[in-house]
Amino acid sequence: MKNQLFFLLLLLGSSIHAQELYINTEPASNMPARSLAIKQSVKSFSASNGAINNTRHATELMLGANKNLMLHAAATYGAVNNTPFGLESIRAYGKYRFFSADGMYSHFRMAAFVEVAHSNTRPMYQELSLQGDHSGMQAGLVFTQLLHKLAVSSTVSYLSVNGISKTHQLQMGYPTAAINYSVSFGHLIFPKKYTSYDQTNFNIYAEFLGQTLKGGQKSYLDFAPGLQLIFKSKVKLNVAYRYNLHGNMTRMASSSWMIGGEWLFLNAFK
Amino acid sequence: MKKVFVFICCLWAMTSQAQVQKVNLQASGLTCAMCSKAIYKAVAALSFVDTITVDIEASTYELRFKKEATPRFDQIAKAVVDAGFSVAKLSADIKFDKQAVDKNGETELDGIRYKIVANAPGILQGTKKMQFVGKPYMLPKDFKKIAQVNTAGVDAKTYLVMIK
Repeated sequence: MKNQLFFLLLLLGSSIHAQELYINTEPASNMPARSLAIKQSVKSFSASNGAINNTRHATELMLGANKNLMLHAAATYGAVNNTPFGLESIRAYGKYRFFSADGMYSHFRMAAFVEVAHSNTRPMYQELSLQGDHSGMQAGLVFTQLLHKLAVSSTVSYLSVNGISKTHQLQMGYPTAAINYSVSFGHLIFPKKYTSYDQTNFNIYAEFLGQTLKGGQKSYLDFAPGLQLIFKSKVKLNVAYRYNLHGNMTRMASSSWMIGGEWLFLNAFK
Repeated sequence: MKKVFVFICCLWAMTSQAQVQKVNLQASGLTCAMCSKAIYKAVAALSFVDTITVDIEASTYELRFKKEATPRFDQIAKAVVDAGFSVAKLSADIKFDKQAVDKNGETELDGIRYKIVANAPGILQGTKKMQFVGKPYMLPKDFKKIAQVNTAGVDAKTYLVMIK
């Protein structure tokens, strides 16, 4: 905990540009209109049930429909909990930026999002997630403040899942709804001064990700530090570690690694 | 001699079509190179834009235009907004040759109508830096500083400008 606080203070006290291209969450800002991005990632879990095969892949296609609307379509596949390798889930996400106040080197933005997922996997844990584990729907708000040297973003959402039988719910104490929340910080380490779009950017991130199940009895709070390299202002390489700071619900993993790449295509269509 | 005259006429015709010599754009709401590149690419995709010189650190872009094209300032601002950001400042260096300005401060050049919002001269001569006035072209705090501009009777397509 001491380390995390130190990391946070380091971020808050830093005197270089902030970044909001977060690894685990979405900022209120959108992709440029008429742009396209492809994100490919793999997550490795330290499964709490001792499962040997515990990797999950995700492919996500992102589209800047116009200046305010961004759409995602994603699929996750893998071999989690010793199941054979295969498609786990599909997901659609839409985010609408409804407020934007830009200043010189600063902005405050607000966006609303809706996410729908269908999963083939059998729910096994109390933790609720649309990232492969459950079918359901999530809706929420994102607030992002870029203020000179620091970018802070916060998300609050309501998540409701389906596909869990009443018997299952009673036997296992499965909830079917939760509140998700996050606070994310990010900033640029390199370059110190921008001179070209070809410079490699190096960003560091600190994200706090939490969930409280309906009823308020069960919750978790994770800390996710991450590193990001951006090549030629076009390709991102993300590495993040996520681990449990506090929690009392059953989860597939108390920690995970994620590595991913993202390719941005500006002016991809008319 | 005739050929030389024709050549000079051609040269004159070419230069007379390039009254808007350059545009200086400053974008707001960004700090990252990826964001700056998004604006760069959005502006570069405009059909009338020829070259762009960018200062990423300052979020400034100097635009020059294709010889026979007429720049559309509203489209430049729209490109920035579509990229997800805002215009902090937009100005154009425009070359005038004894250009008459009417009593309302309005004048038309290359089919583009301008209204000079303060201290409009009767005649514009030489290269002038015109700064665009209005919410799409300024930071909100700069827009607030400007005294209310009387736009009664001004066509919506007319650009409000200040001579800098």
